[in-house]
Amino acid sequence: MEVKIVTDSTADIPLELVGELDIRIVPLYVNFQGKTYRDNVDISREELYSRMISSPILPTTSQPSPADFTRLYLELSCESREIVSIHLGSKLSGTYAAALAAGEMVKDKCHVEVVDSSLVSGALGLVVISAGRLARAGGSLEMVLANIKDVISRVRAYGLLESFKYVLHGGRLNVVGSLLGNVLNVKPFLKMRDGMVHLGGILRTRSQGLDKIFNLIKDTPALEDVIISHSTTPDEILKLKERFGSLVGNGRLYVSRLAPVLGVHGGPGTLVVAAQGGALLK
Amino acid sequence: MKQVILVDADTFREMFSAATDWLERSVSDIDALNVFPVPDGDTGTNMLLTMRSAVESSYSATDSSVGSVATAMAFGALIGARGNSGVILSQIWRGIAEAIGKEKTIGGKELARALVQASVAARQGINNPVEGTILTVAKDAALAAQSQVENGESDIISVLESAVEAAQRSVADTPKLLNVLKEAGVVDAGGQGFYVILDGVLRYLKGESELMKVRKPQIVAASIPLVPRVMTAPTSLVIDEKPFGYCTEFMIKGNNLSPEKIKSRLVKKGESLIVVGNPDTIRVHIHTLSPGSIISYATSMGVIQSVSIRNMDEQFRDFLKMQQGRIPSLNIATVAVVSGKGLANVFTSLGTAEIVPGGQTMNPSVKDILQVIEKVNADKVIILPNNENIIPSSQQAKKLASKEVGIIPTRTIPQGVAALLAFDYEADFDTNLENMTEAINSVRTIEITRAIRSTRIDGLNIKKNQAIGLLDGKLVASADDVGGVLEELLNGMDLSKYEVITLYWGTDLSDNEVLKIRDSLKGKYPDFQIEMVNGGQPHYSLIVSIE
Repeated sequence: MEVKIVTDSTADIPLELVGELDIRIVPLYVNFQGKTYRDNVDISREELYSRMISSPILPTTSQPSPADFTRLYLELSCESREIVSIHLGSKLSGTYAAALAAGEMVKDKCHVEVVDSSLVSGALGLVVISAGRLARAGGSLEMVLANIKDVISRVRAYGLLESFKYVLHGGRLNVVGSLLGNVLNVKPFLKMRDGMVHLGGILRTRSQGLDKIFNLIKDTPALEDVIISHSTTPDEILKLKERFGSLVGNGRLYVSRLAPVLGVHGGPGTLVVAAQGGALLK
Repeated sequence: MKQVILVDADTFREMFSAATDWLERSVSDIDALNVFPVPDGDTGTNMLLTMRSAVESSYSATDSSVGSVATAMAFGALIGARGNSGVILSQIWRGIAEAIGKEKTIGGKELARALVQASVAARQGINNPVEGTILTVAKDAALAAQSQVENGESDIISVLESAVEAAQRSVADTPKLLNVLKEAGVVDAGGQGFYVILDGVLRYLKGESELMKVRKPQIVAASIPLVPRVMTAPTSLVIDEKPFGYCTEFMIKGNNLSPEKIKSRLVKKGESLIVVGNPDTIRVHIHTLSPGSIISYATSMGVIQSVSIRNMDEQFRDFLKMQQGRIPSLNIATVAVVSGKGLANVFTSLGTAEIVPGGQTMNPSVKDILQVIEKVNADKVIILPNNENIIPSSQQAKKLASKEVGIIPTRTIPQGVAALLAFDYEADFDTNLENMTEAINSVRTIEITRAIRSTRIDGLNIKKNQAIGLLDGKLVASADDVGGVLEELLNGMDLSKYEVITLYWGTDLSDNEVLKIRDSLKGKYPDFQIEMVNGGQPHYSLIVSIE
């Protein structure tokens, strides 16, 4: 009996892999003007971004409820007694806590191993894809968990935003002081560390930001897979595919769309590049 | 004889719909007041969402009586309630609906009765009612309405007027009753929200709908002098306190549920417990460290729905951020010497902790710089002098300072901005000094000012009052107007490796001149990102950054 893999909508896994690896996704929620939408189910990216640009009130996000998880866990418990539920970092969202509570609630029916990845977007995606492949190949629960731990220690994620506006409103960026970045047109460069999103730099143009990310990926030791997740820049992604394609060698380069829930926090134009390589130095 | 209006079902729905819109206009102000019971800045939002749910449900009323609309709205408030204040508001709605019963229309008397019942109901779901909150405001409003009716008044507008006035006074008094409000220098957020709703209803009935679209509810001023609102207030409130834990909310649907029984079971499990509802539907709100055990208990009672578990410590951090506070955890701070409000904004918005006012022809003293170094909330300070003449005084200040000080030899504003952009929050002091100093070379600076006398420098004949242009501090061009000097300077430069041109215009340049310069640049350099910033600096008509 195969181990079942569950994640949440922030994993930014390419659509075709979700089906191929039978990964089950629990959506987070986007709250907009008093209404609640399931991430990527009830609200499309296009609609979200166009409303974000035109509306004076910005959307907010919320985690799935434990009931959202129990429903899926119980459904899966008919197929397998072992479920691994991998989620975005607990410092960024209460999704992990909700999954944990749900796992506790269904423990008579099945065994749910809930993992706090401390990651988000494609970085979480790479962990889930790797776990999904192993589970598909018949890996045991122990093997899958060991694999998850290993991949978590080897992924990094970088982000490039068009402005500070949305990320400061969302309150998930770890910055201090008066930083608002609202006078000059500047582009925040972000990186993920210790489960938090940190400001890695401020750039004057998007092309400087893309160069910075490209160089960081290029310098990644033992580079394997890369996921590029974009929000509203399909033309740019074609160029990036070509540019980053030359770097991955034996690995794979995936392209995906950024989850609306993450788009709420990054804003239109958000780009996230996640890479799996040699272990990160602590 | 005054005309007595009776409110029918449609008016009842409309007046609360208008009040909800009125509340919406005030949401961010109310959020910012929120310090009790947990300063997480969401009271306004929660009340608004609860009201919206009530208004949406009003359309499912079974007939066209006020009573059935109120009952539908009470149900909507219950299922849509969010947060502490939302749950209390849903109880207020329960009271209103109970008091109105099956009435087809209502007047002043019925309204007063509804407010009284609402005030009673609001207290019932709560374990330990605290005064100086929405509970007090609801009570004061109800008592005023009731005494108006006892004095023989039956006009709904008059009754409501006295309730709104009383609510306003009551909100103003909340800091007297609740110390945490006084310390934070605010009135109670939930009370303010309730006042805004009543005020919205009153304004609607008085026919001010159009006015309400252009105005905004006022935040009631406290009746006692309050300490000015400083960032340290909310921070100090929670110092050494235990973590807030999780704000846990859910609904239980089942049969023969007992709010009392559930309440007694949960009372020791956390703070701010509210259990409300009827035998079929119960809503629970609690602040707890162990949401899992509460959910597990609830699932044994029935089907649970609308579960929300929010980490309030995270919310509190977001709240602090919302307050624009400077959290005293800066390890390294940057200090910039800048003159001009717009330029100061540029530096502050990019994270500079303090500005020392000064620049060309108005150099700050060593003491000015030293004072700011000592004042800034960090052990290590990096100074951006942004002017050749201010580097020496910065060096003197460094010698006298008790902190570790580094100086980036920035000679122009654009160099200062470039250095600041290179600041890395993650890097240590020495790495930052190195990176920031290196960044100076990534930018070219043009400064344009007026000649104060006729002279001849470096082969240029300059007439008094002519515009003169400096490229990286060296005088290289002169012309009759600012635009002409800029054009000449840019023409002489190799711009192939640059992408952004930023113009900071000074106080002596007119808007017309600025627009003319911008248009000419946009036409000539279409591939560049061109930005215009009102720098507000004296002396230099134009400072231009090319990077």
